[in-house]
Amino acid sequence: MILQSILHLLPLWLFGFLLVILLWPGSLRNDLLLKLALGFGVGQGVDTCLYFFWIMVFGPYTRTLEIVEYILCALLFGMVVLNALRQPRINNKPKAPPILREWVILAGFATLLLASAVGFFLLTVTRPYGTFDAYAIWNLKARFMFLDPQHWQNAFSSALNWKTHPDYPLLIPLNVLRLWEQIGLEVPRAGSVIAATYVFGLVGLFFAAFYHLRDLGQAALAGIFLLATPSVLNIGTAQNADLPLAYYMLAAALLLYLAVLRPYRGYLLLCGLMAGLTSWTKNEGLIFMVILVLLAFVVWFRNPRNLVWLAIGMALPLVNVLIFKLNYAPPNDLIASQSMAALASKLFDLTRYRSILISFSLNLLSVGGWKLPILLIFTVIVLILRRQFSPHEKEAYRVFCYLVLITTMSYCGIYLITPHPLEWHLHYSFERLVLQVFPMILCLPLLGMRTPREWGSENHKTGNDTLPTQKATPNSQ
Amino acid sequence: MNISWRKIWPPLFTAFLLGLAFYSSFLTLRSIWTTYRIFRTGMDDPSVWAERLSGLENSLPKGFNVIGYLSDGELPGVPYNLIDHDEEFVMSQYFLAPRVLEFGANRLLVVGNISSPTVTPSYVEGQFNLTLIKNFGWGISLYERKKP
Repeated sequence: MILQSILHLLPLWLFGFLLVILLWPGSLRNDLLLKLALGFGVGQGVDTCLYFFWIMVFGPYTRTLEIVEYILCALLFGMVVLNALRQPRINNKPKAPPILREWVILAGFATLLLASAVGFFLLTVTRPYGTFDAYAIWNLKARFMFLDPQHWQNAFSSALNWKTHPDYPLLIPLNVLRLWEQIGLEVPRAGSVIAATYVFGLVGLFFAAFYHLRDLGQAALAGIFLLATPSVLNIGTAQNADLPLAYYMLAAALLLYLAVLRPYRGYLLLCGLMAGLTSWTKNEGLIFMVILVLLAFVVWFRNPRNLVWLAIGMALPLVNVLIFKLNYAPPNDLIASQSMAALASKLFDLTRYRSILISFSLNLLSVGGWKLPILLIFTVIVLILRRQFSPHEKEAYRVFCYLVLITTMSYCGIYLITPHPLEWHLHYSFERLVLQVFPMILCLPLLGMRTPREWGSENHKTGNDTLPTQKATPNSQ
Repeated sequence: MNISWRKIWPPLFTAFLLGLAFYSSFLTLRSIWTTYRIFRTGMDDPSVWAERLSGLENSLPKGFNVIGYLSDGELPGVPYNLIDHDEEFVMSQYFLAPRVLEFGANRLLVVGNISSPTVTPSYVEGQFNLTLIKNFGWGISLYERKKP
């Protein structure tokens, strides 16, 4: 059943991979690992957007949808081939061959990856249905749509209890539903397979991004720290939307970082797409997307063409979210259940600020389920091992920092206005919310510190754009 | 001997961080192994709940989109655990989908999930004007609203 699910996902991954190849600047063979890591998420995300349109226009799933997807894949393949033939071959700076200490760290990463895969499998076996949110929210929607496809809108019925959050967006439910439809059975393993794709996709993206931006040693270190974070496996196997959201947020943030370094059209389109998919994954993604757009506006307000590419990338998932929210979803329980006066009174209640601040500080100290305050330890080590950025990198890093900081702060704002008992809400969701931004937070020290290759170097100025060496006009790719 | 701290600190700190990472992973995997040995397949709450509800699910007549749901929390004066109450409600909602469950006894069909040993079906019938259709065991029963 697991193998069957993976076989059904392969065309989506191919579709996403081809789309990323088509948009990525430079030669076809450059940054293959990063293209793969982004491609799977693009494939699974865009497919759910198309699937939602299909359901709205043609009704329940049929094999015709698969045929349409294969045709799209073939078209993309043709475009990639044409593009490759037409474009001059632009190669990245060749990476230096790995040194011994990089091999050692890479071996550690590979061992941990294998152990985590076994851990994921064992944990999935003990909880095939995931945890509370999986069957209360995400898989429940998929089950409604699978068992009564003619009345699929009932999955968002306002008669449903608020704990099932019928207004939450559909990326995860449609991913699961698609597998159930293709297999022809409602099997809990489908949800586990989707969860696995995002957990290991997130690790893959983290590794590939640091391999692209820094070097092999730092990529392996990054992968190790993410895999060693207890919540990644614990929450990852829960079949919630938090890890998928972390994946799309990280992808969008890294693409924004790359776009600030060099505003290629491909980076901007993909950044927009990934940011849009965050809002199609979970409501918090909407907040993240708005923050990213505002930051992009600040960075490029003198160059509106970059903002247009970003908006084009965002369009498909954003249209989905708007159609879903305006036509099908009931009002959100955080907003709809209270008056403006109640909201205002919460905003001015200082005790709420204190509770949130305490909970936030405690969560940051044990972020990701670590037994030690890992972020504090990282901060100290980065202060000692810090490197110098090139001016371009400095700007990109600053934007990345703002994105992480404002997103994290905005999460505190959610708790400020929650209509539910504050302590209860903080207790049951803060760890998961912090995990959504944790990979981005982890990027900050890892981007700012010297890599194992640079340990002995006296000059730590390691401006590494790792971008095509041939001159290429931004926006022309 | 001339020691260059600049060269010693980086591998030392990285080794310390790697040590932390591997120890953390060891603890996580050990805890997963313990969970696996205790629970294994089919021992998790939803799997157990699916088994308990299977009789009820097969007995529900077609055409009822919204069904009432009564648990210990809806009975006056009966103590209950809020976490169990929520957990069992959402599990019931999941396994009885595509029917919508609504807290209370205002629907023609009402599912009872009452674990308190002091509450009998006749008490529920009297309290909420219901008639017991079938008792499925484990505190799960199906009621029908009495016709006026």
